[in-house]
Amino acid sequence: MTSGWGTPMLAEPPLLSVRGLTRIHGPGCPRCLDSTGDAAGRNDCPHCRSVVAIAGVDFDLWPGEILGIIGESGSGKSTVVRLLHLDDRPTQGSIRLRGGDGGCLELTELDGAARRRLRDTRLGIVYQSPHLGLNFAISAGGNIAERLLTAGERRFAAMRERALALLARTEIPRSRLDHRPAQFSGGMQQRLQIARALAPGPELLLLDEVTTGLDVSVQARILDLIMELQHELGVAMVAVTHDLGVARLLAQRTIVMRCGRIVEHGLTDQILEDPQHPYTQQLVMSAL
Amino acid sequence: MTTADPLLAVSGLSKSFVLHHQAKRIAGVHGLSFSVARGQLCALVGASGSGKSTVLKCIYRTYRPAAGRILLAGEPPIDLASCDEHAVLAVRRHRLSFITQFLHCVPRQSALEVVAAPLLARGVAREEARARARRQLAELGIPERLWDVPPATFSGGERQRVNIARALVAEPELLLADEPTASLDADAAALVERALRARRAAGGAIIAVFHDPALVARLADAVVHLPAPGVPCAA
Amino acid sequence: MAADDFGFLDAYAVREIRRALLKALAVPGYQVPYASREMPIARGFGTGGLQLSLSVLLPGDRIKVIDQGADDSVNAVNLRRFIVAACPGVQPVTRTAEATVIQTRHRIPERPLMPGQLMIYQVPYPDPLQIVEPREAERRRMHAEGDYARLWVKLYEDVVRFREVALSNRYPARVHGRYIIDPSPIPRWDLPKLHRSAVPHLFGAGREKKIYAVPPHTAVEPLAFADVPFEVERFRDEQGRRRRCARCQADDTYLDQIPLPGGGSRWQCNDQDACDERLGYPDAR
Repeated sequence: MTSGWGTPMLAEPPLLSVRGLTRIHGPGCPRCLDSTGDAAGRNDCPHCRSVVAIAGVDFDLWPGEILGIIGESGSGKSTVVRLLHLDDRPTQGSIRLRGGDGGCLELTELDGAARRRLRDTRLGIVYQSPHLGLNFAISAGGNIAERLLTAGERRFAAMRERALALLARTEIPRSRLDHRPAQFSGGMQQRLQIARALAPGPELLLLDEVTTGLDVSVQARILDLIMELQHELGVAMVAVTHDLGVARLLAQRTIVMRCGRIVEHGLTDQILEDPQHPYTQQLVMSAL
Repeated sequence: MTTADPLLAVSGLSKSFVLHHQAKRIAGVHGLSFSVARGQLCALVGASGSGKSTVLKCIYRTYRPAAGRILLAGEPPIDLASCDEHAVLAVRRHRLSFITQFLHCVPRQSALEVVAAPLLARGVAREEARARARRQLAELGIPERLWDVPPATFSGGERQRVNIARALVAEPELLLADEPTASLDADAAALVERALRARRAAGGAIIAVFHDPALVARLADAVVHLPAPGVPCAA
Repeated sequence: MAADDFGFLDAYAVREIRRALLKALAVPGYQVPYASREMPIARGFGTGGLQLSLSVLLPGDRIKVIDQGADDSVNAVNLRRFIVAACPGVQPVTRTAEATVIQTRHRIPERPLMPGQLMIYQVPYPDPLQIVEPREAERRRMHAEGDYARLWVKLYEDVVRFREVALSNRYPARVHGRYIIDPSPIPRWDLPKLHRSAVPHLFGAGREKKIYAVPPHTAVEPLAFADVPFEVERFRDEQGRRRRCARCQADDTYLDQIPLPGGGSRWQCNDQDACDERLGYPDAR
């Protein structure tokens, strides 16, 4: 059972509200949405050949919560992450982020500079491949400093101190501060990505298959670290994974995606023990 | 001994499982009603496969009920069968614990941290949470040398007592227990029995499934009989 | 118009370059694209600076051309000769105090510039972001959004590796609190001279087709961390004393190290005119 860590207070409004999020690659046609999705079993429109990466995705994320998104490749889960990280713009739909002042920001309407500023200060991302999340041409400390510098830090000593604290928190020896990430093990590279993502103190951390491809013991250490950090920092997270075990460990609630649509959502233990949708049942059965 | 003012009132609860790929429907429970009051232990009794665990999991919402209501008293009362996921999570955090048959926990956490976690989630300060976790572990007879060790390395019985300690530590209003003593030796089972009595004496409501009929006889204030698989419950 | 046809460039070119210059002065530090003209010297030899000089010079102006602090290097001599030939009525000079327009590569004169003078720079690489981003479209975006983090990261890595920023010249500087410029290959020593200078500084990159400017009395701040201050070259000897020019004895100028035939070396002012001026122009006719 999940321990119920970090489950939100009901009175609080959500940190993030996603409604009707849709991303179509290609010209699109009036029949795109009806010809794709779970029932159609495909995400490419047979009429116009557009790819409906996701359509009609709705969910809320509360402060301090970890939401799991599971599905196989092509299900659209990584598209959701790209849109949340503002690396791509939706064809339709809204992504609203609540600010500290209680006001809401419609992320899909921000211009380039505002998107970048928001990403630099309020979002963090950890990718499956460290090559996407890290700059291999600069030191570990430089990777962390880059996030601090983008967020406006101009004190060298303060950056060194923060970088050392983040390394310590992510269990990377201090002596590695000035080493390049290429000299790190796979697990350590992922932990450095986490340190870098957390550097500016983001409110939302996106985890895109962060343990895929790692040894089981290395995986466990990273999942453990993520849970500790969530507990300590209260940062809300969206964790995309195809591994049900990862979702069970990390997420209180989980969304199941197939062919660009949400086919099921619920408490993670319910999704795993009492899956409703045929696809979820197949996923759970093949994992056990 | 159902009182007029129960803490939890289950009415018309039905749950079956549809296995889409095998085009099969598996019966769980059908039309079950019962209630439990504060300070009362209610035992679910029935043949294997009659759906005892299913009822507990429906209350915890690990299973999604197909029909019926599971009303938890409060201002206002919450229907655990239909309320949204966040309401369930809030109830789990503040009012409801579940002693499951297996302990799932974070790989590197020590037993003490595992047990203290529900308190931390409720906002209890770290030191106090750890102190209460130590008391709970001691009460259930977990030797002090194991407190700082991850439960993954424990024997089955020790692990199960950590699981029980975690469920009890936050003194939940409602405790669900699925065969809590099944994997324990007699001494450990006695400690758990004592802890359950203490929880009840403190006003907690307990809904339990016991593998041992003697425990039902000794502990239960009320007994709910589940009919054989596939048979509807008596009205 | 006859007046605009003055100085090798045709009237349209002059007008376009002047318009670009006005825009560059109005948006300090912003790189204004312009149609760099073919010059009778190869690109990379100062065509950007030359086009600026030819489009601002008027009869009666006095032009000084410096290369590496010297007025008599081959490149300086050729450029000066060409300008004077193309601009009747413009006098060649070597004394900073006498010049109305100074075209330079590598140095800003030691002698404080005075209102009425114009500094013109031959710029090889106009974009300070080039060292961190090869794609020009991306660099334009970074400038537009003031996104200079990667330049700061380069400074961070330098300070980590060398305990200081390892840029001896082309040290990036922020103009008027907004755009960051590459101040062309001037040494760090000269960078503070741009700050709130009395004269306009005009930068032309012929090969890269960009013009930018620092207007007079404008803030120019070298990029530096709050706690790792920007420093100019110190010119200390082994005992930590400030070196002096072996010729004029100045201890407040940018020095060149000149190897001696028998081993060892001597230090001498890089700015030849400043050195001569201090000595009272001993070789003057």
